[in-house]
Amino acid sequence: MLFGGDEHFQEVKIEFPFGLPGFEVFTHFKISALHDYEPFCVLQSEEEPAISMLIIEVKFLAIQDKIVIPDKELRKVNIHDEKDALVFLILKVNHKSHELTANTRAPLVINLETKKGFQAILEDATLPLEYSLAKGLN
Amino acid sequence: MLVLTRKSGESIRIGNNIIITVLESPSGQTKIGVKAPLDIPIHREEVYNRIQQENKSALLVHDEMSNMLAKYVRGKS
Repeated sequence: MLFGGDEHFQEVKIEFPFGLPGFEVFTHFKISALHDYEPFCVLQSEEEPAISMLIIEVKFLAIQDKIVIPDKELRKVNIHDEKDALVFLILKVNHKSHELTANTRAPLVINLETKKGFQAILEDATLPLEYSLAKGLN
Repeated sequence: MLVLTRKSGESIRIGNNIIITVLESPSGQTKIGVKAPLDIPIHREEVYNRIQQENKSALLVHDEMSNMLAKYVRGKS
């Protein structure tokens, strides 16, 4: 179930005040649920629709327990309890294995109340940039 | 204060447009202290660059996605 249990979620607009690494000038995005392919979602720039990425909430992946967002990172978007944070990972296609992989080192951290987010870059260098989804979802 | 370890010639990028570079250090490694507002992103330059690359390589190619996603959704049920 997506977004804190909102079954009817279709789309939410999120501001990333610093953009995303590689796309720093774009700050206004929307996250859309792919209902035919739940729990996958799409993050898309409202300013440049070609900037569009597949994302998934971290809770659907077995590696979720290893992805710890430090309090000082959460406070960047005024989150004081990690339960209030919505955490997504950006996915890409590995063209050799034809599998999806998730960037676990750089999660998107979103305060759903203020609709503001940022892409954290975690200090834990053991977190894979290409975590395979081949083992399936939670 | 945030404390990071860097070598000569390596940089730190602050936000979208600030980079601090260590130009010289006798032992080859210098510690730089950075004080900045909490909401200013501070990263090791090469790690930030890698995440930039990762984000760019994650841009969606729509015609390949449906088949790809169907595999995982089916696999789940």
